Amino acid sequence: MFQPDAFIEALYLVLNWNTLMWLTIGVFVGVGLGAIPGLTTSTGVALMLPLTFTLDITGALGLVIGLYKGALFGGSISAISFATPGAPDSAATVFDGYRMTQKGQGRKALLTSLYSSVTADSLSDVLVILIAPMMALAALQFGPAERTWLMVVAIALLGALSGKHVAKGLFAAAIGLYIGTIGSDPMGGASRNTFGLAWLRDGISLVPLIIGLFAMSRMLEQAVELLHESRLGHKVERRMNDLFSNKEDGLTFREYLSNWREMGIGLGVGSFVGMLPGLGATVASFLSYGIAKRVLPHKKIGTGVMGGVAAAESGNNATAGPTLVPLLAFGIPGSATAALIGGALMLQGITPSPRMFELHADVIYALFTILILANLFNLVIGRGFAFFYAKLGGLPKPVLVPTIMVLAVIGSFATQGNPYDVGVMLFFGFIGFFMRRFGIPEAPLIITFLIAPMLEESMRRAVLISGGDWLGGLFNSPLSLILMGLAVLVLVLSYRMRFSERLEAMAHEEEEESRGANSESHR
Amino acid sequence: MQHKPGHRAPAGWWRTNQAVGLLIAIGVILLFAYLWQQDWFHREQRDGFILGFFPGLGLAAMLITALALAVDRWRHTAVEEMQSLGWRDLLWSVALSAAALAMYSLMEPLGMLLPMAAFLGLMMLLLGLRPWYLALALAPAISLIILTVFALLGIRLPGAFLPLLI
Repeated sequence: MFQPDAFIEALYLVLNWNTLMWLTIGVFVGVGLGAIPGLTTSTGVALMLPLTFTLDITGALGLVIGLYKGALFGGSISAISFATPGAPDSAATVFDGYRMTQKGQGRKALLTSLYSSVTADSLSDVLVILIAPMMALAALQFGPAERTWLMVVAIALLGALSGKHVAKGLFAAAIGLYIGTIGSDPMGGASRNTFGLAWLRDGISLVPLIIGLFAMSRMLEQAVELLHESRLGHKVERRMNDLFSNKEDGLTFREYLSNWREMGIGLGVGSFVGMLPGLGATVASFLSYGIAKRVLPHKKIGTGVMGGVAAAESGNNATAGPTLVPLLAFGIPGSATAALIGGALMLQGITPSPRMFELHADVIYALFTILILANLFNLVIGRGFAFFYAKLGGLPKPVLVPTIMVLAVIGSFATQGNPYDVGVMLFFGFIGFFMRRFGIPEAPLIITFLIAPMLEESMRRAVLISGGDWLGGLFNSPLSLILMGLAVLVLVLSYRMRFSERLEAMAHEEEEESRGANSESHR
Repeated sequence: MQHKPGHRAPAGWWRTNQAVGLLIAIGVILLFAYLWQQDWFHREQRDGFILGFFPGLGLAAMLITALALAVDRWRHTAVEEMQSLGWRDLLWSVALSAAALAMYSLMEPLGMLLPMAAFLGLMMLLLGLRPWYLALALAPAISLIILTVFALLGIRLPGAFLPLLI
């Protein structure tokens, strides 16, 4: 399976100034975006997508993956500096990270976060490199019926695990399925579902849809919040002035090693959660933190110790690589960010699928190399510019929100030069605003939108092969039956076990405990 | 954040999952009725599928999940963000989107710099940036930075830099 020629070609593609420059820019911008409260990884990647159109494949991957990894770590900077996580992924870091800052150990907390993030991220990337090709090899044996059911399982998992309410997650997936059919029939090419609008014949473009849902909707939400009242940004802004001074202690190698169990837990939990469609970094971070707290009671996690930061951050960052496994092995993105990276590949003319390992082995090896290199860049940039990024976290929202709106407008136009794309972006910005207010997750929508044509094609092929016999076409092997059963099981269990509710209760419990500990320490 | 199942939401009924689910279900039914009346919907393809099968499947999935929202055990709950949502918020989000569209529409006739700086300046003031001269100073500066970076990267822009200039 290993192709040495393709690997050498990949090294040649990656190890040049152009790719390394875009990787550096990606990490640099990513850490900054992560550090700014209110800007998530998805928002950053969505805004950068139009830019990838002008780059070569490795430059585009460097930019997007660098940004993704940088943002995952960056979220911890503001969580540790002023108890406001840059993104939900870093919410669990607040519990111990901010308490360490209050104790005058902000620098130590930040370095713990950086080193545990990079360690877990690098090791989970190695796992991806080992697992993804094997899974792709297995996926190549799947026929249209198995592929159909695999996608149904992915949609069920996404719906069940993405949001706090199963029906809302599935509703988002259903919207994605519907808007994925706008344009033309993928088999015959006939125009359909265009509402009589000629410009919709090519379907809804990916970039404006993504920018609308992930960037514009969040800016609308924040703008409305700002219009309401909040000037919270000003309140917390000044608290960080005396943090990270050189007088504070750094982190010794021995201290770093003392967190190996927490990092191990984070690595295991993060890698597993990352590979499952729908869960994501926030869940991994809370789970890893919660497990470490219960398994290692002597570490007193929750009282402002390095172990808490290491567990949360390693859990969060260990999802970065594994979230790409379903995308690379089956062509099914497992998370919003994986969908955006899949989108970047598609903009370059490469459709993520198991056949990528055969058809574009050089791109796969380049992607693996970039995954590993991005960690190194993250380490250097995070170490060197943490103080600068902590300042960036205090950037006033009234400046940030309109600036991102402008970037969203220009970005949605830039990819195709199509004026209608701006309208599509604004339309989905409003839809996304409503979805966020009503608690409907966006990730299942975008992921199902991406796989809708594949799902349709596989299903139609399966039925066609069996001469129009639906039962014979879709249930033609034990694997098809098992996958169908799995989809049903996922839906039934998710309704009965109320997994998301339990997870939320756990997060709430940690928050309450942390608050209790805080008030005790103030006394 | 969701309230525990079975607890009635303190907000009005129209903010509950049930109300929104029913509203969405009505919208989906209307959309389905519209699509059903279209000729293309019933056109059969070579593989025996009608053209409207998959759009209809998507709508059916939307309808089922919307109805599930209206009848499941969380039907009486209202999401916290939904409880604080008012008509004014919806109008603001429409108005802000319209302002962004207006900025885009003016980019071709007026050049990119002026509409962008005006949009940024007005939005900053509206969102509470003070003192006012800071907003007026930042708006053209940010516009210039954005335009310069995008132009240097060779990204296609919706208008010229200034009116009548390329």
